[in-house]
Amino acid sequence: MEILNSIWASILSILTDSGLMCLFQGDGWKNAIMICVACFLLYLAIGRQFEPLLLLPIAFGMLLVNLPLSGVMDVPTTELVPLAQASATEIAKYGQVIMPDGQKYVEVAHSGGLLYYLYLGVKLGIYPPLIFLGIGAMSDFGPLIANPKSFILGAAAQIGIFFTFCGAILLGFPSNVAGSIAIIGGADGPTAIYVTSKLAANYLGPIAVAAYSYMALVPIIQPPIMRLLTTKKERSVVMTQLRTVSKTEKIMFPIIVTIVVALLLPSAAPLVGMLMLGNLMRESGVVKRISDAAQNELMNIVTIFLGTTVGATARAEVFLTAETLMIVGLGLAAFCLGTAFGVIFGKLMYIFTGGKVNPLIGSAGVSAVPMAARVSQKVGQETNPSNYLLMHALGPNVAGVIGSAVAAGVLLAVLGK
Amino acid sequence: MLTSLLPTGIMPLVGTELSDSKGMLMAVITCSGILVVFVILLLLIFIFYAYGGIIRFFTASGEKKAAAKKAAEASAKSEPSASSPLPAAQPVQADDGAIPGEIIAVIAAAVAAMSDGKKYAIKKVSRAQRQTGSRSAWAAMGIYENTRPF
Repeated sequence: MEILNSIWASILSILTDSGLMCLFQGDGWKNAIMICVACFLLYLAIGRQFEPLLLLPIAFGMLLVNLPLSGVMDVPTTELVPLAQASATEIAKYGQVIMPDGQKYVEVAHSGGLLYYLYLGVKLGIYPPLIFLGIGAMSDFGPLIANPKSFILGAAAQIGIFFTFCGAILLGFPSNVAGSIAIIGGADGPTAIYVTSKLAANYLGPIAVAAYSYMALVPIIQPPIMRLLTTKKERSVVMTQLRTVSKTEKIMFPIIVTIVVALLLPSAAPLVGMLMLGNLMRESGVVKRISDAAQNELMNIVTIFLGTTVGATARAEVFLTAETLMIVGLGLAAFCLGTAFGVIFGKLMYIFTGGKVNPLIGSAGVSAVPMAARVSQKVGQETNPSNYLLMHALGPNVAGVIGSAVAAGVLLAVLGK
Repeated sequence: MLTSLLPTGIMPLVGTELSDSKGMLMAVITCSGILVVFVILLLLIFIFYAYGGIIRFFTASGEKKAAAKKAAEASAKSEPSASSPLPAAQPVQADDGAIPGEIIAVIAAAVAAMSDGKKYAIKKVSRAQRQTGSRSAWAAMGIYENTRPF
């Protein structure tokens, strides 16, 4: 009987110390909710294929960090253990420390969690520019070079960022947090993460999740706004074929953009510089191996690290707040405003060019390459099935990437002091 | 760079949350942000229009020179045979110098393959004129393939 009691006590002890019990103690219910949220996001990534390359690691990182006692994001710590209580191994490993009071201690170091160390790449602003390197290596700026007017649409779609900044300030967010929330309107995940890691690292989880959620929802959010702001006649405009762009033009493009942007706005240099470096590697054709690595291996590795660690910042105590709901709402507003201003400027171009520009390509100015361009193509074909806007929409789309990086540079330059 | 462009009285507002300075902060960041983004991207538009124009100018002048050289060579070759009777087979006439000889040879081979032993003479090869803004069936098909998931 005594043996049975001992076994029972041992099982109870294991259960009491388990993560499962922590879910039922104190704020453990918050972790349970976050686990459900993570599972729902996993369903969206796998079942509905909403940006699965990013949403899957983000959701799994969120799941891992909210499992009680998992310790995946634990910060490394040190503990002063009195010399008398320290083991011989600890003394040999860490050595002795003599404190001002004359007592001898051993400074025992406790390692941090795995994701904490990987998260340093986000915290130090390393991953987002590396992602931009890969995006640059994958992007064809030909449509933008063939039709430089597209830059206007890439700029117009960033207006939503600045109006959302005002909204966030009015809702009582500090200026640095407001800037981080507003950048969601750029519809560019790495840019949002980069700005937030510099301005308001504590808000990284909700902001990254909101940014990537809206990017995944581009085909749902944008079309109603595009239809609302355009007439059937405008949507059915067939644009003339773009001119052929020479190799020299494509090679010079990243060099010129880097020089111009970095000279005028140095804070945008890491993002724009890496984007253009990746593109130069692609277009020059002399470093095909490196270009391939940037597009594939490097991009994939950084995506895993970035997604998982950003997800791991969404701890229950940070995520389950009223502020998160406000961030999600403001992010949606920023995204809708960006789309609307892009289309409005597209309409202006339609008017000034005498009906040669289809305003639908304006919505692609919100980055989200290439999904936003595909949405322009799809909405255009609904009105005129023989219309192919894809290549025309890719111009504003890649201009939007540059535009959002420039907008990020502005926010960092003004708010990052 | 940007901060140096801003009025000196604005920077102290950044980071402050006093309600009376909120309006000022919002106005400054919104206006300066939109202005800077547009100025930089408009500058890039200007640069790439100018750059594209320069590239096209040099490309066009290079093509003109090449075409003139080719025409001079062709006339020099035809001069000795000017007085001789017409050859049995006339050379195929291409409407511009951009259609390479290999393409004409391929077209001739395709015609020969389809002719069932009858003899045909190809007198002229010219590019099909397409309506501006439309695409060839092949290009349209390629784009359709890429966009079909939507």
